[in-house]
Amino acid sequence: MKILSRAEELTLLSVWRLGENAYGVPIRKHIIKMTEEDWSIGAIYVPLDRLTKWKFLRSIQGDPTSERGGRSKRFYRLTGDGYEALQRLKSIQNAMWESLPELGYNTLI
Amino acid sequence: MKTKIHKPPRTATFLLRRCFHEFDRDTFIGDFEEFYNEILIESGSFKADTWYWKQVIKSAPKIFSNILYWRTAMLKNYLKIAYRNLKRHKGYSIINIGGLTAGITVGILILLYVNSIFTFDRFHENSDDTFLIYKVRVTPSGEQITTDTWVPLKDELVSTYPAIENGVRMWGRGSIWVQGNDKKFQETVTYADPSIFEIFTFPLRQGSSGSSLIKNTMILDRATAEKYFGAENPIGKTLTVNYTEDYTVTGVIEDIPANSSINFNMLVPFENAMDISFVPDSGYDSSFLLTYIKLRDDANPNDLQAQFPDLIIKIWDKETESRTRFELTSLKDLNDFNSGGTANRYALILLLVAVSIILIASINFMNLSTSQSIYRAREIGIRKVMGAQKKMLIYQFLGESIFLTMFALILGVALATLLLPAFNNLVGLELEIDYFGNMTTFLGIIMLGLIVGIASGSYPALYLSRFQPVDSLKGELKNTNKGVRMRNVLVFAQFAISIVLITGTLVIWNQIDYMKNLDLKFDKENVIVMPVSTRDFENSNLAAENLKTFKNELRSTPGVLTVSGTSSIPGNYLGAFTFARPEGWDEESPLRVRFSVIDESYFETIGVEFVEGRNFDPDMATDRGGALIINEAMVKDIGWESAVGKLINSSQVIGVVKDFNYQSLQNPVLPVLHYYLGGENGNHRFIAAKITGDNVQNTIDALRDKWSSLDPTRDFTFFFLDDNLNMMYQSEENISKIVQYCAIIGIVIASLGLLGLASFTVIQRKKEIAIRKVVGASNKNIVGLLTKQFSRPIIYANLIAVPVSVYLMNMWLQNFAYRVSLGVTSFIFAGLAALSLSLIIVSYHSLSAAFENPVHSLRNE
Repeated sequence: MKILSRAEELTLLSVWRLGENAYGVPIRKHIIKMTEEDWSIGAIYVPLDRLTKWKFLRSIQGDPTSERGGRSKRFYRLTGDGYEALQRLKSIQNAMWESLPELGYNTLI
Repeated sequence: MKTKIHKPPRTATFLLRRCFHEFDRDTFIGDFEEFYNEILIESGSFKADTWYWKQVIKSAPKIFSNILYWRTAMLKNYLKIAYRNLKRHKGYSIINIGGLTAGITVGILILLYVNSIFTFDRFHENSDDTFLIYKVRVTPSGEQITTDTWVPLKDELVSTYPAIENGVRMWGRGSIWVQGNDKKFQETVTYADPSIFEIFTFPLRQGSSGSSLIKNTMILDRATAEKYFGAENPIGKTLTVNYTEDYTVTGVIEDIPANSSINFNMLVPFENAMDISFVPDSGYDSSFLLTYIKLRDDANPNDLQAQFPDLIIKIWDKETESRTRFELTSLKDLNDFNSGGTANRYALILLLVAVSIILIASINFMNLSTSQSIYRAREIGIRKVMGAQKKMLIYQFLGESIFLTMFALILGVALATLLLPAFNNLVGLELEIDYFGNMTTFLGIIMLGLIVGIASGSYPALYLSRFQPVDSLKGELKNTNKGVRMRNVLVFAQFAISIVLITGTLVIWNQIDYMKNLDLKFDKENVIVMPVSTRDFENSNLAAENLKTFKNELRSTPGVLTVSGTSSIPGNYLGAFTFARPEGWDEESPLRVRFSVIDESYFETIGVEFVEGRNFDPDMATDRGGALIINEAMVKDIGWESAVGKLINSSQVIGVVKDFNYQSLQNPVLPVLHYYLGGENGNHRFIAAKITGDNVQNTIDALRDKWSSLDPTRDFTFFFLDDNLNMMYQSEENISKIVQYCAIIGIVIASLGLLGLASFTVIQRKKEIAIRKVVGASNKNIVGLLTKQFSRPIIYANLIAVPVSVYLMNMWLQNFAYRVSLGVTSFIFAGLAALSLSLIIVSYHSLSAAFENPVHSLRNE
């Protein structure tokens, strides 16, 4: 199984966090809020697309909404595979961190 | 929370939409709109718009790749299906592509020709502002246009009118012997002012222009430079003109394009012409040169032309002004002007012919593709069921026809390239196809392909895309009545065009034949003409002796009947005019008539009969200068009952000859008068000999022998009078040949189309025919049934084609003073030819259908 990239990880986490309301706009907003950095639209939609293709996310087309002038939303849900991928990434990260020696000034350049 | 949704810029949204596949386009656009609205609320509409547009620009690459991806995916399928269809119906495909190829080939060749005619003389940078000045003389027998002007006119014009920036005189002195580098040829030497290089665009290969045309220098064209000096450098070499004038070559120009009205091989300064004894230094007595002027950019030629009457009064007088006009013709119109207004008209006729052929080919395509539609009904049904929209199907079929046309275009270009030399021969031009060097040619040919493709593909595309999937999948789709009717209309159109072309060919043939065989009131057969004059020799006195001996020897040659020296022969009458004031003429202005200088044997040699009076007599001293022989037209113009004994300009009329056609039959016989000058003299430019016509080759050999004893350095040149006369109808012959080939191509394409259509109809109606036979129809009934269906449009085509051809051919025949009447035979022939051809084509299929055993057709039911 692939190791997720940072953007993919953040996207998956956002989808997970947003639950019922996980579609493009709030996902991007959430990521921007958490990272305090600007993320371009492409930086969100490309991973969303990829993750959907890998079946880490499932996309559902919502009903047309009046607030969007009759346009529907595309919602995303985290799948089992997606959850596993996140867990795996987390455990890899933990393992990496734990394998480090005690950090002291002498080891920094 | 949100009260109102703000819409982002429309154009941007439109572009953005292209990024996404239809499938979830809306959700993405919705997301974008939400972002847009947020920025709008936070930072205002400008920021939001900018952001939105930035998104669009950033997505541009995606837009293109998206389009490309989806298009190519479908394109692959379209190409595959198109290819399979081509392969499956080989016959149709060959007829279709063959027809289109023929149409495109004809189109390319004729467009090249027309382009070259319409761009005649346009290669000069100043072609917009350069004009030839010519004079129009008003005479009782109509207006005469002549282009020859006088030595001082150019300077007079340039100094009088500020609108004229520059001018150039050009005088082509023909049939002059030029020697140099041990070579000797007869040339036309052009005397011109140095301003020729400022007015016209003749780029130099070698040497420098501007200053180079100073006195005693010469500029050659490339071919002439090679003729005299081969590979040597001609600059600085000397050529001798007419044994007396020495010129140093200072420049060589690039070859002049074939579509140029102004041509020269050897250019020398006009200054040198002033040294020639018979060239007047000044004054308005003798007109022999052409005057071109270049106007300032802002000058209006019409305003200038309006001022010319004053100039005529200044040069001559009020009386001259009342019967003379100066007019200007633009360099751009010069070719048409020189051809007497036929060049552009013929080019237009040919353009029309080319369009007709392309139309016939396109119609074939339409007919065959719509009739074949049955075979593709299922494909269309499936495509529609799978979600293809009508638009996509239209694109598909249009694309298919464009694809086929492009294939035909490649074949057509190859064929046109192959046929170009033959075509050049036919039209007498040096056309070239510069496919890649010249953007216009390249784009023009591509455009031709596209237009043909779209023209022939649009109807089938609309027709096919309209099929209802339910019908086509159930297999219930038959050719609708509407479709059949439309195809009949198209067949009708094809044959109407073909019949017009055939009649056109026949009428042109008739006219040429008529002109060649009309009784010209002289005997053009068996007359050998040798262009030679004492003026052509270094020592004209010695030459006169030699020519006299030559003529005497000719007279004693077996097979030669009479020998004559003359200034003009029919077909080559000099443009020499004189003002005649006949006895009792009370009009203010004199008659302006053409004249010729002949000896006593001239009329006998060309077999012209006298109406009254006698021929010139060398023994009558008064005949020399004091006597005239005129033609009937002149007697009629003056209004005399009998002319013999009357005076014209104090010379006595001693004879009147019949109105023999000394010019092309495009013109009526105009008044002409003949002066007498016997013996050898510089006025005679031809020796004409009437021969018996037995053993012509022997006679010619004998003449050649005599000639070489006269001057071994010169080749014996001669022509037959009748050949020379036929040359006058060259442009008519050319156009007739082109129209003829086009008529053949047109009828062949139309017939092939009909063949395809007939075979298809027979297949369609197989079962119907079988049932008809089972219930008792005879073979005759069946053949009649099918024949009727196809002959009806062709009969209608005849009905329309006849008046159209009558109108068009009458228009063409107006060019000729002597013309054939439009006989019914041409029309009957063309109509019957088209009808019988179509019957033969249709009967093949209808006969095979009639004789087919009904069991074979019906066994599946």
